[in-house]
Amino acid sequence: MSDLTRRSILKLGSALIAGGFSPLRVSAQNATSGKTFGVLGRLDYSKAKATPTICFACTNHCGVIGWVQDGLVRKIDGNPLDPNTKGNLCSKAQGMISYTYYPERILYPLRRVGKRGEGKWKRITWEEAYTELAKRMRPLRENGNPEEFVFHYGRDKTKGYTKHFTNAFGTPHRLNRRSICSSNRRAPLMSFYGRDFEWETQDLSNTKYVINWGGNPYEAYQGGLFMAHRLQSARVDHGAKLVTFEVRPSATASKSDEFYTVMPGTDGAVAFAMIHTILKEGLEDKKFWNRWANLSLDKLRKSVENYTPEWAEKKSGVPAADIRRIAIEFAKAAPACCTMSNRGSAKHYNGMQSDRAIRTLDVLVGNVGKPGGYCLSSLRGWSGKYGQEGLPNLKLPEPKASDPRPWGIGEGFNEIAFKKIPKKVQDRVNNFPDKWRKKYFGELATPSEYPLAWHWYQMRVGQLVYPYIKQGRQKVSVYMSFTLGAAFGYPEANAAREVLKDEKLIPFHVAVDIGYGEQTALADMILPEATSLERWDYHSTNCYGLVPYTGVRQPLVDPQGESKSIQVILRELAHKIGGGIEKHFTYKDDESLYKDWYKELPISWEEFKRRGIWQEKNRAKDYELYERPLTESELAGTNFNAGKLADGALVEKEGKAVGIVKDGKAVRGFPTPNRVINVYDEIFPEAAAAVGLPLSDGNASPLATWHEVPEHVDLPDDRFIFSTFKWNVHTQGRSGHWKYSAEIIHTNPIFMHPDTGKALGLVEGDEVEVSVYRPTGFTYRAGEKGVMGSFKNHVRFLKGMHKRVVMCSHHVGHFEHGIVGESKTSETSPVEGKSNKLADQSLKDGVWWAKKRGGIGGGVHINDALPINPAPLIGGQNWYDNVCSIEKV
Amino acid sequence: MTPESAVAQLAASLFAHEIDASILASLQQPETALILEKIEPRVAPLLGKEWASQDFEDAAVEYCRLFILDPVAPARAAAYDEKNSLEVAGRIQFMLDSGFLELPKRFKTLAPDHVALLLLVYSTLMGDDSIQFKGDNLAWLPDFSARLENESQHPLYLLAAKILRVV
Repeated sequence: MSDLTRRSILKLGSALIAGGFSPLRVSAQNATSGKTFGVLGRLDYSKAKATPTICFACTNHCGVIGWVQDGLVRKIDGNPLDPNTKGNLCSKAQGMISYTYYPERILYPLRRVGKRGEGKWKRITWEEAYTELAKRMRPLRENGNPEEFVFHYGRDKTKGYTKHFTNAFGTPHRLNRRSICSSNRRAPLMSFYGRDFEWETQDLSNTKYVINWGGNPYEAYQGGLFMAHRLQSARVDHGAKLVTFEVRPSATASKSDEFYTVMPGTDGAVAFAMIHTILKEGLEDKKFWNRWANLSLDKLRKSVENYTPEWAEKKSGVPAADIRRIAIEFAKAAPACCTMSNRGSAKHYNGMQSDRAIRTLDVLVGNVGKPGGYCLSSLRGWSGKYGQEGLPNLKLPEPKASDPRPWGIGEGFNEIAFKKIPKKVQDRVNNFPDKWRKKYFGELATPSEYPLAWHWYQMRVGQLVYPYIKQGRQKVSVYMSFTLGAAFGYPEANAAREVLKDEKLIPFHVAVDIGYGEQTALADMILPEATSLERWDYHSTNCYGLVPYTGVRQPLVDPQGESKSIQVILRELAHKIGGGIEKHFTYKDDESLYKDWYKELPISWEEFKRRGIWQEKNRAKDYELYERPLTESELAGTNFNAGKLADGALVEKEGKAVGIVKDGKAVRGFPTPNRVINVYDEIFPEAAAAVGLPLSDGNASPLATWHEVPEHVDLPDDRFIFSTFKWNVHTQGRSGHWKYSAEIIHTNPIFMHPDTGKALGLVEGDEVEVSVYRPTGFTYRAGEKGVMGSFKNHVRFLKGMHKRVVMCSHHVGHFEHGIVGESKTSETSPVEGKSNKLADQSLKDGVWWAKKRGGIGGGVHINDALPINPAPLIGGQNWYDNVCSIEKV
Repeated sequence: MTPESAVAQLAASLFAHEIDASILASLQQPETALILEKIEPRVAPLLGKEWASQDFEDAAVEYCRLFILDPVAPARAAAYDEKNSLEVAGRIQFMLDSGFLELPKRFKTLAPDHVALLLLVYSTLMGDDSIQFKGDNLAWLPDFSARLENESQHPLYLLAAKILRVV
């Protein structure tokens, strides 16, 4: 504008002053000194302060050290005191800096102004936010409907704090995404060992042989970083061998000594053939099996007699000779050998049973709990439970709120809530055995068609939450999502968005999150959360060194803007709601809370904060926990009387088994109800009968069995199996706006074998349309005809892919996630005096991959096209079963 | 206060928070309003009337769209000068932590690389100090100004974008 000159600005300034413009009260007198300007912005290790904390960039939660200079976190290093990482670090850790300081982070409470999803918002104060929330939530408690408050989280590592709030409020609805991730994988561990031990903990440092079914610790895996460096050391230092079965050349597969492409859903077949081989060769550990398994070897032998390597080759494509050889090598390496499995084996209709077969292999060769073998950590929690004997008891110090009453009819049940659910569901639940009736809390928390999602503990079936709300199985009045990306990342994410948009189904949605995304876009109120660099958390996970440890997440800097940790938000909300909830939130600040949480540690609070990690170094490793004799104090009050109880008898206290008699001694055994390993488990047919799943379905079998994925049977030549995977630098869809990570990986081509592409008449870079069909087993909307969903994307060829498989990652293609997450740029008007061209002003040094800049773009969102497909009984999402067709666009 | 400082502080206030009655009153001073209308004629109707609560709400919604949630014109160095933005933020944070800088209440929860904070500090400086500060910390202002001018649907933020050109 030509008349905007320095002269006019002087006039404006003079006018402002003359008009009484109030100068802002800013005190910056020393800012004029050259000394202040001389502050070096670059990281200077001699000036920066190092503080240990716990990473929250993914599910591993590594001990890290944050370097703070000039009040900002500038760099993340590994904490060498962390026994899991030993100071190692992955690239995702730097993402914490990205998400703390990125310019689109949500820093203020916000209230929707226009229609839900329209994108019109305004800032509000915390007081306004709490007041409105309390006004909506308080009547739910006062009127006896607290269950109409639903808390739904994506990742919650407060170790019980959010449950403390939902319990205090009185709702059982603290929903999670476990079924999206790992419930098919965890159920076999719960069945076999009585705990999922926050995953098994293979003793990889000392192992000689690892068979890996679809696990990817070199890239993306729970505990992956902890496992990868141990596994590499074992391979380099003492020649350990790694064999991987995968559908694609993942980082782990590529680095393995042997890698076999396997037909999806046939990992279990390979495992069964190995069991068959080991038994045939007489390489089983009879002593261990007979001592700890709840099934005779004869019965096992009979159950696998038809599972020959030749049979498995036909199913899986893995050569029979290799299956046989690997099985023998594995068994001969015992006990310093172990299996490993993850989504590749478990995310299928038959995944639970496949993982049971894989778990059986370890029991068969007797490597369980042995050096170099398949070990079970002493668990997180530090509450003195199995394997934690002698450790400090660490627990949330707030006055505990009792759990809600189970829903049902009769004394001790919540009849009011129960009677509101559909009659058909009531009838099903009324016919459940007492052990399930006492654990039933409605269809969102404990879906009655999936009793094994909550038989052991509450794993939920997250992908059914929105369809169930739509079906009227649960009335929702206030829905709080917490770091949840269901509207983007859940299967049939469009169905989630449809429900989230519907104000009749969800009258009020408050989202607590760090960043803007598809979920927050559909909220009515957004509350800004502090990042992991700005907050406290109690940390505990299994230790791959097999000596328990704990750590503390502590703030390195104050929360940016007006953001607050979830703990502070819930505490302040509780006090605003009142009515007794506030009595459970007595701490004024987080540090006091966590100081008390850790008060039993044998080191001072200041020393603990300085180290960030505590471990009892002299404690024996968690080998063979099941053989440890019960101590005198543990035996007190039990039925054990030396010489009187037969071998195998249970040692019981107050009606609960606490050990088992072996060789006349009382030992701990496994934390199962019968203290042995449940290779055979009647819970599966029992659950099947309760929900009407035919006993002919493989999931109903009490002994592991292999059955083909229903929709893979007679797969036509023009159909393929569509699968997904995770990248090493991303955390599902949540890291799309992490600049460092997005620079490395920002798109998701469809990978296929070159021969597959050739057969389809494709060349690299071609765009294709992938059409996905609904599954056909006993699952949600099974058998519906026609295309369920489709998407278009470009093709890349990759040798090593299974030829019937096409796959792409599911984490990109955001449409509500900001400049980086959406890979969007925009062009502005020319800058006067600078350029006569349209200028790209969006993170202009950064989003070089945006299509507007001639880049490849930000990928394709595929999750709308993937059907909700919970595995029978357990509900784990069968991500890797999808059948699709491919058309060149 | 110099005229330049007053303009810088006006801009800082416009970006620090939503338009409130206090800012509006300053803008609606007759002499000031006349100059502003010359800079951006589209503000005339807004400066010539008494604002209803809906007017304030409309401005607040636009402020949120521009600067807060999925912002189309983020008001932070990190959005334009990615390589140096942590250094910019670090300088301001250092000044805050060291007690060199005491902020008005509504500036206290701004990110340290926020344009309002930087303009505020800039408004206190003179001579070479101001030139050095601007060069070190506000080199991205033209980009921000251009983006804001392109994106804003509210006359007062169009005005703010133009004022930024000569701050």
